[in-house]
Amino acid sequence: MSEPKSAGSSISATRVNVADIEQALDRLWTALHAEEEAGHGLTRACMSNLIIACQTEEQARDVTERIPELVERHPARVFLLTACAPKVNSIEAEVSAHFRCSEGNRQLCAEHVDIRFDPAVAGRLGSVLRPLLIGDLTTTLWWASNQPPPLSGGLFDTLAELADQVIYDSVGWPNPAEGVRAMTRWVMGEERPVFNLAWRYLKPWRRILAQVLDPAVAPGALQNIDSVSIEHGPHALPMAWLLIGWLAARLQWKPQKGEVQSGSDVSWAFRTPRGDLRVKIHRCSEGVAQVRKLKLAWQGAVPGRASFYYGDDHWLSLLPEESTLPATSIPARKVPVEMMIAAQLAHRTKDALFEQSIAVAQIMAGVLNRQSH
Amino acid sequence: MSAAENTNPLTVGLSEPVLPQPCTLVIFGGAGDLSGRKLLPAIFNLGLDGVLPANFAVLGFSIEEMDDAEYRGFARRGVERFSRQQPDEENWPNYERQLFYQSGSFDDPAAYEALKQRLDEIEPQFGIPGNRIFYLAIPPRLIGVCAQQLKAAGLVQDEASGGPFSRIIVEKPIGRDLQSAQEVNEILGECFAEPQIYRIDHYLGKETVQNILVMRFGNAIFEPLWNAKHIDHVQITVAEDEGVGTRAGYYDRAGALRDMVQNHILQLLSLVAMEPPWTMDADVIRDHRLDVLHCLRPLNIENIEADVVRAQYAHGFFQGDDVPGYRREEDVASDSSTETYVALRVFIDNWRWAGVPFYIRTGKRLPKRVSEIAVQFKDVPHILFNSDNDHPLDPNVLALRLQPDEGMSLRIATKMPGSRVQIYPVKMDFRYGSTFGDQSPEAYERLLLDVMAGDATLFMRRDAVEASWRWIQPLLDAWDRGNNRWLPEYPSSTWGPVESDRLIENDGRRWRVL
Repeated sequence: MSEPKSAGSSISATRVNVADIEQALDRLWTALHAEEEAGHGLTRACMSNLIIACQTEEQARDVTERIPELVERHPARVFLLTACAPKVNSIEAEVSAHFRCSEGNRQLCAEHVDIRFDPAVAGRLGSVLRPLLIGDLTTTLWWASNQPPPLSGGLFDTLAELADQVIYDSVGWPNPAEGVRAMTRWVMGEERPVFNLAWRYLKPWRRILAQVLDPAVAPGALQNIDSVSIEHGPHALPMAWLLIGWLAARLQWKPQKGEVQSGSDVSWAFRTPRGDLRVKIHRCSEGVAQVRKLKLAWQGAVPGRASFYYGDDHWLSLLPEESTLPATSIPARKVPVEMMIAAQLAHRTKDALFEQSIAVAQIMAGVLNRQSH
Repeated sequence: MSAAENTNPLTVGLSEPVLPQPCTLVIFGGAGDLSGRKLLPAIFNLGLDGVLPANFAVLGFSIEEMDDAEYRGFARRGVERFSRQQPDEENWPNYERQLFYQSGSFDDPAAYEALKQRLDEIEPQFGIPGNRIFYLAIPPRLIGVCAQQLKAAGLVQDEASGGPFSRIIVEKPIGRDLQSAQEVNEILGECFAEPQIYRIDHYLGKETVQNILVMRFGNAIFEPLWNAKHIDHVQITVAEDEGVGTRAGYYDRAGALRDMVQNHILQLLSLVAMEPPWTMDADVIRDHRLDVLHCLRPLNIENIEADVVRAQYAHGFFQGDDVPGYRREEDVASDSSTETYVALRVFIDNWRWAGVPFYIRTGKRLPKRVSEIAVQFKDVPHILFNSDNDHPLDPNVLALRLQPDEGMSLRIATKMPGSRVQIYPVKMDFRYGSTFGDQSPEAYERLLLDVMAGDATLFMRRDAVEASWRWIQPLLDAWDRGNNRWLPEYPSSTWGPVESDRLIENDGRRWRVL
């Protein structure tokens, strides 16, 4: 497809009463029409309702910058909810719009409603949002806070009740073990699709492991893995945890016990169909929030080892000096959050593989005993 | 190894829709035009998108003398010029390290021995377990010899052996008539099993073409109307604004009928007209497409006269510039009778499409480059809003645009605001580019990935290729017999000859203005 590159643009925000949001959006639409030259049209594409929840102003600023790109890829009516200091003691709203230009025509990509609220009145947000959701379209909640959703008080429950899909990110959770336990419990009881962005960050890892350890390339390796060690950057323990959860779910490893050995090391013992397996996860003191290195070794008829490294150039590489397999690399470009969200908005079915992986991750959390040091 | 050890549980749910397998792609004609413009950029993009196998290499194979470094330079120039994503110092080294080149003559057995030796050197470096894809990006006359030489050199693995795979990709045209297509297929069949052969038609890799099935069978509102009871007619247009350009050598032997209708357009027609498949299995879909070809009303001496128009472009102006007529083009004979335009009225004689004409037109030097399938629904009854015979309502039209702006539109009638009933046609327009705002993969990217994954859904099977030639053949024969007949002409940058207008206007219909 060779669509000409379009130029996106936004209309500045107008403050409105909460009760007048719909009318204000209509006025926006009418005004945009009126600005069009004869022969040029304004069309509206809308594929979803998107509710974004932020618990700090800083998060909201970051998300606001991402919305134009997001809605250009997935046109949506967007509600950005930001919890403010208690002094506000109210719900305030502003409306704006984002559109793109193509061949002289403007296409409205998003009606954008900014809602700032006092956490004390969070329970009322459902009544504000419900009439504003566009019928016939799915509603997604993007939980942009770094608090595990079920541990964030009633706000998450209020907003999740409106949504057909929930997107969250476990990277950066202050207490990963508690977050994994709480979130997994919540996800397992859900009929709706739930998506963790950390799962998406792991996709290149899953791809390279699947391809390099394929029986056609490394015969017997997958069945005979007996040790795995992972290094990750700050805040990326949930990612590493999820990666192990995925491997364990796919290769039928059963978590037996686990321990937090220091502030930066966690280990687990697994029982596999062929014997015992040790997993170690180490947190590096600096670097990006990513799984940085993964080493594994296997026994069997053809023993071997493989060491993978996430480079600063955003390529995942098999390190030949630490591996018995041929060198290879695949791109692991950091996909901007807004593009991941846009892509995920189009997925409306549950991801069984993700759920299997977090189910094992939850068992891993269950067998984890913190030791005093 | 046990069966369990042969499976890879890590691939489950990893990649939609397909997971490519580790392999080497050997491009015959690797230093040629198709390779530089399409294939190498497609592989570059697949690599950047992270969907290529981790264990993967490309080996270009051509007559030109070149070493690996020079080939990488050739590839870089192609990628810089034709790729949707650009190379840089970060991504290029990872791409070019997988590129290799081997020169040799396509009919020289020693070249194939050298090719085999080179593959045996490259594959262990990349952990490739001997899976090979041979892409024949070469003139059609060389297809047979390359297949035979590959077989003779032991480069074709038995598909049933369960070992590494060998697959061959063949570009259209397969033959230039029924007999030559059968001959090519026969040779291919002697060297490769049918499931190993991927006959590529890049039109089938386009998003909108794939979307035809989704639109028809994924929406409840269309399929109940998709029949002779509700559809008045279908128009398929594949228009090019360019002249014959540098392809005169090939084109003057082929013409519009062979170049476009026999392959692309009949594939489009079969997708539009096929019955619902009960599964997305490649062979089931291909069976259903084939059924449509079997149902095409045969062309014969009686209906060819009434249902087919061919023509050549004449001198005219293209974007304000003087352009020569076809017979004045370089490398075209001054008395050439090759058609640069063809229009057909086609009927599909089955229950669903009884009596519904499919109007097809394709040509060079038309006003714009556009490909479209338009389904025009029947008029509403001539009562109520459609009672004025002098001003009939515009019928509903569902148009599927394949290029340049992939998407679809639906024309509906709506009331203009006001106190009186004034009805106005409104076009509801959906464009992939503006709705999804992303650069879709090129058709070749999707198709290459499908071959790596062993998915043949979007490729043509032998029986379909031969069925389309079988239907075309009486027309080719008739034209051969009347080779010296005067051919209608149309000025460059117009929508074809008046004879073409008459073809459809005799039925009380008109070509769509695109």
